[in-house]
Amino acid sequence: MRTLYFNAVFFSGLALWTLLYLPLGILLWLWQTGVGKAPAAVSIRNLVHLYGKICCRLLASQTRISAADRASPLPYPCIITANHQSFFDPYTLGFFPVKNIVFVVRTWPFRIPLYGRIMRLAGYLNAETLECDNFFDRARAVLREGAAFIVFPEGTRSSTGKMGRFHSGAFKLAMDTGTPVIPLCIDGTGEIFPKGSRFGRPAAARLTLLPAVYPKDFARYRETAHLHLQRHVKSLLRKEIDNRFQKDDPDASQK
Amino acid sequence: MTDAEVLERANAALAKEFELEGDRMRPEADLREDLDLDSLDTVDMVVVLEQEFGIKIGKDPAIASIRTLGDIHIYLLQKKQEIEKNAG
Repeated sequence: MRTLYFNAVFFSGLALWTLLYLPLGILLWLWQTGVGKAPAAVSIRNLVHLYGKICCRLLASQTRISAADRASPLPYPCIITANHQSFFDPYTLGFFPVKNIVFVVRTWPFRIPLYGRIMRLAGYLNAETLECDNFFDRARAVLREGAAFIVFPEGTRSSTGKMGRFHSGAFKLAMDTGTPVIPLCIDGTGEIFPKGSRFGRPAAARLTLLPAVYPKDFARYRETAHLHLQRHVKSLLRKEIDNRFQKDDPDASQK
Repeated sequence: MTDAEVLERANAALAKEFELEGDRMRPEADLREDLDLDSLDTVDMVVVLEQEFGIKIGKDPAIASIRTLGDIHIYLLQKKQEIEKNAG
């Protein structure tokens, strides 16, 4: 019964908010780009963040979600790297004071009607179709603008809660440009929205934005520096998840 | 170092770096389809093998034609033969 209520409230709320936000978002965009002279792409990125913020509030009203920010004030530009458990994870940035966010995504979200159009206007990068050199050129340009990237280095959602292999692109970009990496630990959203399930269920989740990791601390590893940075960030995320897990169950070892 | 040792070390280094389970490390395994290695991973793979064996691969054109784990094995054994020939 509780699960039924959760799904009814969350998904109808999400649909209602999306319908309301469409005209409101257009008005805000016109105002920001016209009166505020904000660049069109930056304005859309910030409007997407506002949309996500309300989605987060909606979910938090139905589940136990805690968000800890140990990174603010964020250094810009920066690369936020998060583990990935559920479709809701990109929205979770709405819990944090992040601005001008560019998502690195795969091809399929670009195919969603309307969402895909908004993503293109916001200048999000498709990690699957862009050639390696082209991807890095565009990513460097985004960082020069002072934006924040959000990357899910696993490339796909985990179906077990255990982190998958990290791809190294984000870390190579960080090393090449000297951009700090902010690890975002997402723990429990996979229990709320399990991979492969159409519906959600009320469960607890915890989000933690960890302090920045600086590429200069890994420069001594030279050509393998990005791989060391990647391993370090992954170990920080794993440690953060294990900490919660052990607090919940002192006898437990590895999730 | 024997050929078998070369292959064993190569498999172990790649499995560790790319978190690949042992049963996926078959010679016929396609790097992209079966092992989920993208173009950037291929660059990382070169660095990992260079460090493991203390050899220089760099931008060897032969790397571009590598598709499977077996191709990597063949490449490394050829490299070993070249080194042995030059040394002796």
